[in-house]
Amino acid sequence: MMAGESLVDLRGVTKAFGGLVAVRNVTLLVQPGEIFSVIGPNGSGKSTLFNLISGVLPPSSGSIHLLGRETKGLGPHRVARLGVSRTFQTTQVFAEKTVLENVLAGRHLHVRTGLWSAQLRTRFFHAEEMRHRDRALEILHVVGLAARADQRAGEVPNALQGRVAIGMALANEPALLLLDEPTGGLMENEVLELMDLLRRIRDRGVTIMLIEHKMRLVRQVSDRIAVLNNGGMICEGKPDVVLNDERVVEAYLGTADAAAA
Amino acid sequence: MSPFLVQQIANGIMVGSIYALIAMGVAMIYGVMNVPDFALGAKAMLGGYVAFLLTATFHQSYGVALLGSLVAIGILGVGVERWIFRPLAGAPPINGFISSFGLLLIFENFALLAFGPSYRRILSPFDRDIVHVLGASLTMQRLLVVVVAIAVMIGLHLFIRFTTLGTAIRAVAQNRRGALLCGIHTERIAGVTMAIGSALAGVAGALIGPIAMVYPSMGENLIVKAFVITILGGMGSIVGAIVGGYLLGLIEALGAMYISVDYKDAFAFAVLVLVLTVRPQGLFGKGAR
Amino acid sequence: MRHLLPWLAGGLVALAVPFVVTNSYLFHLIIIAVIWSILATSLNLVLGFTGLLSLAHGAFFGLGAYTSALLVTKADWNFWATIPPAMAVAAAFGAVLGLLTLRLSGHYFAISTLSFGIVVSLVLEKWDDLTEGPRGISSIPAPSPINLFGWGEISLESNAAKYYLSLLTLALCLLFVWRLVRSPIGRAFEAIRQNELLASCLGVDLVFYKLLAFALSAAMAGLAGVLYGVYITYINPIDAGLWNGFYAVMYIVIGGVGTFAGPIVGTLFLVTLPELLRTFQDYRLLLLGVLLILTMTFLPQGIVGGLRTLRQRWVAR
Repeated sequence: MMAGESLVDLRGVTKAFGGLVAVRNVTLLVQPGEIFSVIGPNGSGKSTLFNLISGVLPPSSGSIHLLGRETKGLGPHRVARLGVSRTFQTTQVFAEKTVLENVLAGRHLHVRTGLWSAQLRTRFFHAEEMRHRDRALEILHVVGLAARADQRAGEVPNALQGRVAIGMALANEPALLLLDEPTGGLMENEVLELMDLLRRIRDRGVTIMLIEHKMRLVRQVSDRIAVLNNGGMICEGKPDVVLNDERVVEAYLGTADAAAA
Repeated sequence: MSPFLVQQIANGIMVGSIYALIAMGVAMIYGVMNVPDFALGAKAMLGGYVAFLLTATFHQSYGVALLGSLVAIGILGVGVERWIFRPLAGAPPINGFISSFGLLLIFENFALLAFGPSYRRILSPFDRDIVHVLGASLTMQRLLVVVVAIAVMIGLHLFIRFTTLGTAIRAVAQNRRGALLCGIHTERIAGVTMAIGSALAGVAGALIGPIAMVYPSMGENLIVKAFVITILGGMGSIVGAIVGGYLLGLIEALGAMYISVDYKDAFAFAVLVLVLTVRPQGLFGKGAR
Repeated sequence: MRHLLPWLAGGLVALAVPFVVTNSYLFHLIIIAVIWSILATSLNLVLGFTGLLSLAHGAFFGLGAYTSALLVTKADWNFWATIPPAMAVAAAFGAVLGLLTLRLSGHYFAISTLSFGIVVSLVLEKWDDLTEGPRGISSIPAPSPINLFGWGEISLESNAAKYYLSLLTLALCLLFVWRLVRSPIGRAFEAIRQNELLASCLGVDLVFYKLLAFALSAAMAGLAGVLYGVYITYINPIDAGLWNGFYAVMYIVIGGVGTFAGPIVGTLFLVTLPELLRTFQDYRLLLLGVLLILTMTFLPQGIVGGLRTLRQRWVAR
């Protein structure tokens, strides 16, 4: 990726499922180091957009460049290899494994040992395993779950499972982190904690794209916002501008009159 | 057309009828209970033995034997649903699959212990008369297989289409939770479906008995082919099962004639593996599997 | 280290078997059980640790057995030299199956593997010129003696020698699986088993790892087949058929899926038990079916899994 190039470069991206157009001609750029939020009413195509960016779904048309690389046709694991990690709207963790093991799983792309060193249990193997473990614990500290490292992920309270997922995503040392509704099921104080976490992650140099519904969080934490409605992007820019935009208000509440009423 | 070709085609249709009956059973049971019943072939085998007992030991007519196998295996199906599959309702479907393996072992070895390994012949009055079609000679029994199979298919279709119970079955197959919310007694429907599916298999066994004889492991080949058919035809689809059954019967018969007798069993499986590579949901299935 | 105790104890008992067991039929069953434990362990690699129900492992077992037996009887190879090609052939077929079933899961996956296995065993049965067809391959010689360079040689003619060879192989395979599972590759397998989508988004190349799991597992199954051939000295298409693979699934399930001891416990238990309960010999398979259903219904984690849960509950008190 060259200096001045956007981290995420979507141009004219469209995704259609048969007759249903989930994402319609979306063009947006995300700069390195920003927190970029994607908002919009239910069914506006936000999660589909994330699926397109992370490689889970191929676009019907348009181009997607991540970190300077065209990602058309790459599967999710190749996109992950570029340095992109994500979480899911319904939190996905490995319930039977411990929290630490979950984050360890996220280290997959940074593993340098292979079949032979695993079988021969070389010194290198042991050193690497230790290194991964230490890194995983570090990440657990960052997300605030160090105390629960040995607890089974399925038994962790729902509100904290999202953190496990974020931990897994961070384990990949990503340049871009996609978070799909990380505040789902969280209470007020937990939301504040998450905002703090997001800022800390951003300060470590990770670019964040966020799908969110909680407007206060979005306003306070985002550098820029894009608004989707019915698959198309209706507005994009700084929070104050976007959130007061007529079209955005209308999309959420019906018409400007209804909002005033 | 050469008489030999007619013979092969007729054979293919007959074998196809049997495949179709069992595949229908698999499709129905899978559609409603979401479990592939690997023991259905063994149930066909038991149906054959029931028919054998009724004709050989109890000296009943073949017609009674057919009916008896239908009823007996249907009842067996109800029991299987109640005590084997119902307790597994919440578990991952693979558990039911493995349990049906266990059932297969139980049925086969029960038959082995009860009847011994020798092949048994079911005496049917239709075995003696010969019919001439387009130059080929076919026993009436073979014709009967096709006729009964088609009669059963029509009967089942009418049942599913036009009775309340049939509609309830269709509802549960489409959306179990929705059906439950509508007040349909889903467990009872599962029992009924299992009874019907098993009865289909039982009758198939009694039909093929006079031709291919009855022996404990006769269900193995049948169930594996039935699974191939239902996967190719879409696992819950009864139409797919019927079409697939006849198609497979014909492919095997014609393949044996034109390509190789030795490998005729392999066609089905080779086709399945290749199709699934390209279309993971089968030929008529919906959505990825 | 405490958890190694049962293994050490089991190992010592295993070493003592030829001296302690006087009933030659029981001894025979134990040897068979050890060989089948290798097959079960190999299947556990895909089933228990990667979450794929393969019904084709009987075919890999048979491919290994036939490759080795054919090379020794028809091409005069030294037994030991046939092991790599036998494992390679099995592994190749395993990889092919992995490729063919890539996009499948659940029942479709299982039935596809079943079909593949059937095609392979059918070909082994019908290709008369190559495999002697239904007659099978007989008079398979014992492995050539191991030369100890100055210290004499170890003959492998006796049953006891074959037993120790099989036992050693089982131990090596177990070690291999253990070290594989407790490594990043094993973590990738586990991730695939629990949640393919998540694994893929974490960077796990599903294609590569599934193929790897299949190839390794098939190679090990083939190795079990090789040992089977030299022990029984006669193999036929039925041995390459599906039932070995089916039984392996059942033994694993009853013993405990996804545990290391499970496949061994299950196999040993189910193979030798009927001999110990002599009167029930005829009912052996019937009881197996019943046990299978009972396990699936009441104890899906199997014997070893159940014991483990019991121990956890005990410790948590």
